[in-house]
Amino acid sequence: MQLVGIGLIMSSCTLAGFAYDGYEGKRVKQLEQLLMGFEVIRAEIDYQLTPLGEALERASEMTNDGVNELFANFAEKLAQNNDIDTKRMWYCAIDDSKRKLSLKDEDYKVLETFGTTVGMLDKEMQKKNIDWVLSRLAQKKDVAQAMYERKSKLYRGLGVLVGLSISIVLI
Amino acid sequence: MDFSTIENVMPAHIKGMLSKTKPSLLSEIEEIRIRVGRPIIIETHSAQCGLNRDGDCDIQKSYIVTKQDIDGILKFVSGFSLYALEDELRQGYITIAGGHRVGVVGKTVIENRCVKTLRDVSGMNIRVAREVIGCSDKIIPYILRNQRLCHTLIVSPPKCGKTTVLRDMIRNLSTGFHGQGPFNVGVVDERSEIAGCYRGVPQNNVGIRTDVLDACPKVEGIYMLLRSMAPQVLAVDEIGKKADYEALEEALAVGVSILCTVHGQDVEDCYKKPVLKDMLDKGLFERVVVLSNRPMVGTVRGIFDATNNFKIIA
Repeated sequence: MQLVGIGLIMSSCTLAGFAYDGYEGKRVKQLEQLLMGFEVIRAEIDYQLTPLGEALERASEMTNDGVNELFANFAEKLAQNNDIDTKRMWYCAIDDSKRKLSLKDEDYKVLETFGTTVGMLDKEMQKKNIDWVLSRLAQKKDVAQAMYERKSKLYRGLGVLVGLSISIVLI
Repeated sequence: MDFSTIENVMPAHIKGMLSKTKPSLLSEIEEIRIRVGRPIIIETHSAQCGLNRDGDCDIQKSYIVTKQDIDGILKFVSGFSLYALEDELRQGYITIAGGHRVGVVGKTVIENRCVKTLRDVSGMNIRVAREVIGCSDKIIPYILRNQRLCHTLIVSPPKCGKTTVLRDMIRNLSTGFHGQGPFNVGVVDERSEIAGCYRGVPQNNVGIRTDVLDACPKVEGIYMLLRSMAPQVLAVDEIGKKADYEALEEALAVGVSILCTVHGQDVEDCYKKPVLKDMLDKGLFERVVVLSNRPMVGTVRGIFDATNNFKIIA
């Protein structure tokens, strides 16, 4: 019985370590996908003057890891023509997509700024808005990646070690 | 006629009002006039009425439009992408899916003595585009000769069905008409009214052999089509500038048949436009079709043989 308990503690702590590590890895991947998505939107608007809904659909097609759902969600809300407040619709799209995303609050704050002037005024304004989001997301991604590379093994090892420590104490 | 594209660009409450309007009225609507602080006015060919939550009504009882309504329509019309419609706004209208034209007025922003954009939009006129299949059937026999289309000019004042007739002519020529044709037709659809393209694909029936350059300036479009698509017939709407005539002359020189429209009451009006007069004098157009809206839109007032001293042939 004691051995079974120790086994359970060890495995759950190890899994927790791997899960946290996986969460951080996913965040880096999603930040990369967001960067790609916003690059696509910027290029569509800058080069082809593509309407926002279509640009979002294009970005959704070219991304994955849950980020595609965020863009698709926003495009869908715009297409419904039920609301005229783009900021509110973008916030709703973020909220609806949160369960598929592994981002932190600081990342969501950067994302939210995209909704402030999206669709308003001229092409230059759109480019500036997206450039600002891109630069902030790139910073977040660089920090997250450096952190992940530095601490990935630590999280996994820590899970095993914590499991082992608890087991020793209990024995 | 697909009215849903117009309903889709309306705020929910106005959409609700339109949905309660009598179907017979919906099928006759020519224009919807929307002005801030004033009642919505629906215009048909012969009457005007208002719109409120019970549907169509007297203008005195009509819903009074707010600034938010106009802003909402503008956002829906542009797909929340005003940046994509800068050129259209500069010209004062936006074309929506289905080829319906939304004219806008407001405060112009001037830069270097040119209109840069339009802000504080205060009024809109939604002109309902209608496809009338077969409306050109009686005209086509007079403009076809020996398996080719005579260079044809359609003359009509606004709201007399120029574009509708032109669209149906394109369809007839592209499909073939009683053994004449079919022809490869190139269309420069500067205002997206002829083919009503959505994402580049014509939504109106313009025939199976029609190539459409959507939202393309006429002059550039004419040269592009001549270079790339080898059309047998070239169709453009509302010519007027000197550059338009020059591009058409280029097309005439390479043997393409021309089909175009121009604003005017009659042939005499055409002679008041110096460059068009020059083209008529040179005999570049072979047929002139004059339209009127009496007794109804699209009525043919006359078809003239421009090569025979404008003798009326129909």
